[in-house]
Amino acid sequence: MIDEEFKMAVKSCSECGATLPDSIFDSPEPVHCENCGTRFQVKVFPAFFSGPGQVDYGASIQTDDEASCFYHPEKIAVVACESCGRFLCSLCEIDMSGRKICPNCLEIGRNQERIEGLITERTLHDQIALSIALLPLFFIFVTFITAPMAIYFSIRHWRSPSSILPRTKMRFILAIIVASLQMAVWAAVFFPQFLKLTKHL
Amino acid sequence: MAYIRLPGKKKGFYRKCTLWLGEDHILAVDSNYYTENYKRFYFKDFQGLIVRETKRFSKLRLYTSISVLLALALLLFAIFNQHIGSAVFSGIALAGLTISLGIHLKRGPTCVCHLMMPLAVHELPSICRLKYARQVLERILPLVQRVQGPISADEIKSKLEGAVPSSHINLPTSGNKPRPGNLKEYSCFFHKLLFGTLLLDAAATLAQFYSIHWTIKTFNLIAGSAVFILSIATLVRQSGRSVPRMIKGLSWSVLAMLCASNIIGGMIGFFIGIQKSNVPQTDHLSVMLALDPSNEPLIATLFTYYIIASIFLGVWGLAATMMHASSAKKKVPVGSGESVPGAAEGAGL
Repeated sequence: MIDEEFKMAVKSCSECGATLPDSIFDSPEPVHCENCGTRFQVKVFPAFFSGPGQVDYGASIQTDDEASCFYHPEKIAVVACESCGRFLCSLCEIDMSGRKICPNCLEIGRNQERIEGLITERTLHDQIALSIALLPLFFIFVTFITAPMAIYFSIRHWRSPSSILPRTKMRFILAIIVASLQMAVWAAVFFPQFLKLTKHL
Repeated sequence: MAYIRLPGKKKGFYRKCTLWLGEDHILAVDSNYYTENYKRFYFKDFQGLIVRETKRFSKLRLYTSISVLLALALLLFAIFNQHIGSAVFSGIALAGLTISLGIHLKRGPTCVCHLMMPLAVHELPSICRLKYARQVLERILPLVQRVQGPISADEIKSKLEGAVPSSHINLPTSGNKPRPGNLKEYSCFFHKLLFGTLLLDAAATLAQFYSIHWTIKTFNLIAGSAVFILSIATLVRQSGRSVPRMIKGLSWSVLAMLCASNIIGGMIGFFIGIQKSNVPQTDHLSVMLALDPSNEPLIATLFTYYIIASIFLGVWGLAATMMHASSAKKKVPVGSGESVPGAAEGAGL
């Protein structure tokens, strides 16, 4: 049982296996292992001692006038999904930050990133745009192509979902400014040549 | 949902780990430059937090202090010999190393932090200093207590009385890091070759102080190229294989050192080539190749740093790979007939 292992883990030093002093549980500062000298700080919470929760499999339908679960027709419905309205038994009911939803809506919400609590990855488009604008500066001639790309990428992904952490649009703005400057330099280089060419023609 | 940043950050070459405080959970963010990965740990599921001090702090302090002393010695040497270029070079290195030592000392002792959740133990890489661990605990403790209720130290002790301490706990230790499954065994052949060639390269570089004969130059060029190719091969080889983190880090350090020395060396050589105005621009490469460290103080300083770093990394790397190879040989193969201590008790016999 993993709980037993956890119980043992907080009482013994993970370096040498010796028993840790009891003061480890109420000390605000790290406590030394008396055997190997490694310092530990352990904080245990009440959930550590609570056993595995009871699973409610839902009650079976007894009479014909009872509403049944959409996914389990033999079980009594206890709630309606707040997203799609389907009736759900207590086994299918999922509590998502206070909202009762069904497994299907959970899956859709996860795939379409509608539920913020289920987002596990985000691409940082602003960072990519800034890289497209800045990194090619080391190989100057490439900027002729990458500068318009950086501007296009910034505009294209201006409203795309970004980090769920606080983040400004500063990188996009910086990418657009740097890429515009690069394009201005290229224009300054090519424009006199263009004028010369038109004079000849 | 608004997140507030919690103290602590672990920053690597391309990876950054941070911790954020949400309404009912903490969010561990593992980001490389272009993506962010999130893990949520809800307060209602928190079972425990174990913070263990590591020896990384004292090791880093020792290595950085040695480097500072070396840089100081080179600076004094350059000043006494009136090599202004070398003095500036060593002064910049000394300043950088002293600042990094100061920052390291200010951040305090290092640690690893494990969060116990139902069914699994998760490492929180951003909490890598004891100072941060204390600050994070101060912030989250009232929030967890609000959700789970308080528990006194006496209650914990009485509830834990039945448990017997054991040394076969599956919590990661400094010598027992958790590894993803199915890692291939590897004899570190490429690593040995890399560190050995690095020592040869250091010897060839050292020989240039005494003679810049074309054979020595050619040998140095071949050895340097071999080190570069081997470092790439080693990095490819070590991914997905059972190699200690320290050896992996040393391989990366060799590549970083090669890149840095080549860039700096190239720049110095280029500027020396420009200074020699009688040389046509097309001959800069030949000027760079013919540079004599005994006449050019900047090149001499760079070579000295390169030799010291190469010997340091080469000897350390060779020793570490030898130790790893010998410890791998000592491991008892499965099915050899020898009993594993505690196996009978574990099986309930």
